[in-house]
Amino acid sequence: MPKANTELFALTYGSLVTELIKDYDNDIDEINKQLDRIGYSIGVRCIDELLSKCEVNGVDIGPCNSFQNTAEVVAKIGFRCFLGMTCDVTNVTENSFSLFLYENPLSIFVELPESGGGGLNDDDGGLNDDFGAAAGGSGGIKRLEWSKLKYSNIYCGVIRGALEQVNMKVSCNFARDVLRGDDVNEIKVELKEMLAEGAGEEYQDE
Amino acid sequence: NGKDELLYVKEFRNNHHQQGSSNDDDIDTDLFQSILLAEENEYSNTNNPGSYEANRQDDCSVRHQFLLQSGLEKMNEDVKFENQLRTTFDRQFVGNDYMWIGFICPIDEYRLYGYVTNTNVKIIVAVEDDILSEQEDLQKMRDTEIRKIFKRIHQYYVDYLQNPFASKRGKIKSRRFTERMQQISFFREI
Repeated sequence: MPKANTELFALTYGSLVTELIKDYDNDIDEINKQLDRIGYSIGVRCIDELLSKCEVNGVDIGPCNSFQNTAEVVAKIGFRCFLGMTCDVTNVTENSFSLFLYENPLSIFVELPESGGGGLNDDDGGLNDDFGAAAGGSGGIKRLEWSKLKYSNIYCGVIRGALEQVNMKVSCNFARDVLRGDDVNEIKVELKEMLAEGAGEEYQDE
Repeated sequence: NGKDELLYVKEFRNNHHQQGSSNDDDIDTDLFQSILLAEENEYSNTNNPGSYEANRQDDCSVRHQFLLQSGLEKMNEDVKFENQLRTTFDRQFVGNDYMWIGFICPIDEYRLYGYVTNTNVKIIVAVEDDILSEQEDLQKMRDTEIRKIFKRIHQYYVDYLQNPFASKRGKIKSRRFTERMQQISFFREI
């Protein structure tokens, strides 16, 4: 499989996130949703690639017996195949597991701005300076809670999209994030339901 | 030709003093220094009366800022002079050696050293020092140390720029950057 330069990848993702922030006018919740949607699109395509490439390379992924098995495959094989890193599976129950990511290639340069400051400018991409705000709220600079931004939310979307293609409907979110001050990145995945096998509605007989 | 815009300025204070007289041969004396980063920019607003607010929040006394700014002007002259001397056959166009300007001038009890990157970002370090002009060896040693410091500062600046949330112009407002700059005065060996 072709490889990409980590720094280029991280910088590209960084520009994607900042452009999204500007496009959606500094609305943090909306950004998180968009990142999840983008990840979802990636995930539905990744899963086929993963399953086919691994057969070629001799890594045998049989059908999963349990949700824990699925978790292991996602963590050890999926993440390694696409991102070159592995993560740990913990807190496994029948319907949920947690992934601990100790290193995150997307956020190697990132430092979230201080909360309560301004949003991103349109012209130079920098943060709004605080001088105007201190002098009495000129122009309505928004006070942003940057700690609500889930910078790597794209991972959640990818996992959700990929598992949906194998008939598992899951919900996925970031429980802990190094960028917000925690010591480790934790993604919590919960199984909502197993979908029935079958084609989409448009193919069904009348 | 744009004016220089201030990106970052900091002064260092050491709380512990050397016991006894400061010995010129002892190169482990604590440095009392200040550092300035500036970038040439036609959008510079250093003459804007509103920027006085900004200066009051800087971690550097006004006197030091004044010294650094005068050093900056002298350095700009040096750079022009240097550019006339350098030919295309001279040496490589990248690397820390190319960017090094060197000793600019002595001001009061400080010596100023300069460094300019290929992107016209200028770094000035003011070091409290009483090396006399005859002491060539000491000057050379100090030179090497300062070169290493500039290399580090440049690296920290590059790391700061790679943060997608960093502003491309204007003051540097990164917690990581300020923490690292604080550490600079403690590292003598790199």
